[in-house]
Amino acid sequence: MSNKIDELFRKVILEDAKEQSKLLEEQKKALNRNPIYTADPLRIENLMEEKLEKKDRFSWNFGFIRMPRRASFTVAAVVLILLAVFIPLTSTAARAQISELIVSITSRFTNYTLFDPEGWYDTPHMKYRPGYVPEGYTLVEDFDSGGIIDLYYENAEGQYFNVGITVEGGTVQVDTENAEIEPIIIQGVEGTILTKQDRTHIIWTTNERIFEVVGTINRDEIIKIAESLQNE
Amino acid sequence: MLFLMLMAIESEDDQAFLIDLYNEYCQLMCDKAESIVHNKQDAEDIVQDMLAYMIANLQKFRKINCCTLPFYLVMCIKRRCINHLKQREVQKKHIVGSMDHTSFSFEYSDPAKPVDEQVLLQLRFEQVQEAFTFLPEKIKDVLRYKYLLELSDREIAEILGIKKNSVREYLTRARKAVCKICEEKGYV
Repeated sequence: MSNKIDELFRKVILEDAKEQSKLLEEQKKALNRNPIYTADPLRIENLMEEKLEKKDRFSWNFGFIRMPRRASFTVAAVVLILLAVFIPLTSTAARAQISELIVSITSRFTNYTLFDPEGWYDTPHMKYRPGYVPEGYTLVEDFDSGGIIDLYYENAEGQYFNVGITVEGGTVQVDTENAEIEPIIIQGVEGTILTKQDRTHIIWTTNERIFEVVGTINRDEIIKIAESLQNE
Repeated sequence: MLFLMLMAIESEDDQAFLIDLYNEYCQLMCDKAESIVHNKQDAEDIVQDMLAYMIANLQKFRKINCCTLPFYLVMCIKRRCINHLKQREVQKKHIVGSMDHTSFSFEYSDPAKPVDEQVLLQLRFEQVQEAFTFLPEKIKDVLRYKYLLELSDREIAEILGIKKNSVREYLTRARKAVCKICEEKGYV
């Protein structure tokens, strides 16, 4: 039944549409008589062109708004390219400059310089080793360049200590910033013991060499290792 | 863009049909659109959108009876104008054919009373047609969306700015209004 009513209304609406269309046809004729609306076979193409021109005019009129946006995109693109090219250089340079600045304006890095470099080349070949090595530590790296000896010991837990002896080059840098610094006597000579966070650093010099022992093991152990260091 | 869309129509026959249709009714559609949106440029944009719709639904337009085609196009334009006005958030001032619940609170509406389908079926087509002419224009538009443009309830709801479920209720009220008019005229 509802379908029949739908059909009835559809019929009424279509008839209404016919009547309305007749009226619209009359209106259309009146519009066509108006020269402003004169039909043109090429009207559709003309409308397309007008549409495009309108877009151009819009762009022109609002160019002052769009230009900054375009300019900003361009600038952003150029900046990104420049950053991509120069970041490696600038960052390295910047780091170097910052590092130099810190060193130059603060005394937080201490240079230990061989007091008397004479006789370096007369030094017989040395083979220093700690006489005491805490249990569980093994030598994992033995670096000997002839002028610098670097022994690296490590245990299974990742704790380490490092023995360094410098006979050439003359200078060892030690991070003394915010470190607890105390004098200490090692092997009969005056040295320095620094404690910073979990790291302990002992450094002492002789006329020929700079010795250092540094590690994350406890202070007493570090001292014991330093005392045991000997040339085999 | 639209020119490219036209180029996308493969059949030359279809292209010719569409160009003829557009040339024939472009002015009328622009005029109707402008009368609703009150802005020539917006009206032209709406007609351009209509052209895109015609291209996408070419076969549908081919099937439309030429006697009803002008009104069909105008109703399509009207629908787009309403959507356009809604988008501009000025529909409260200018919208034509907008619907809300108060639009149906005319004297023929009685929600409590069910539609007497038997009464409607007893009516002759001419009597319903005559009753239809007495309906408010807004009610007519709902019926036109339903039966001429064959829009779904969801689409009608979007145009009217109501819930989808309310569309069926509004159609029922329109039918009741027709029954009431016919009763008053003594047709039943």
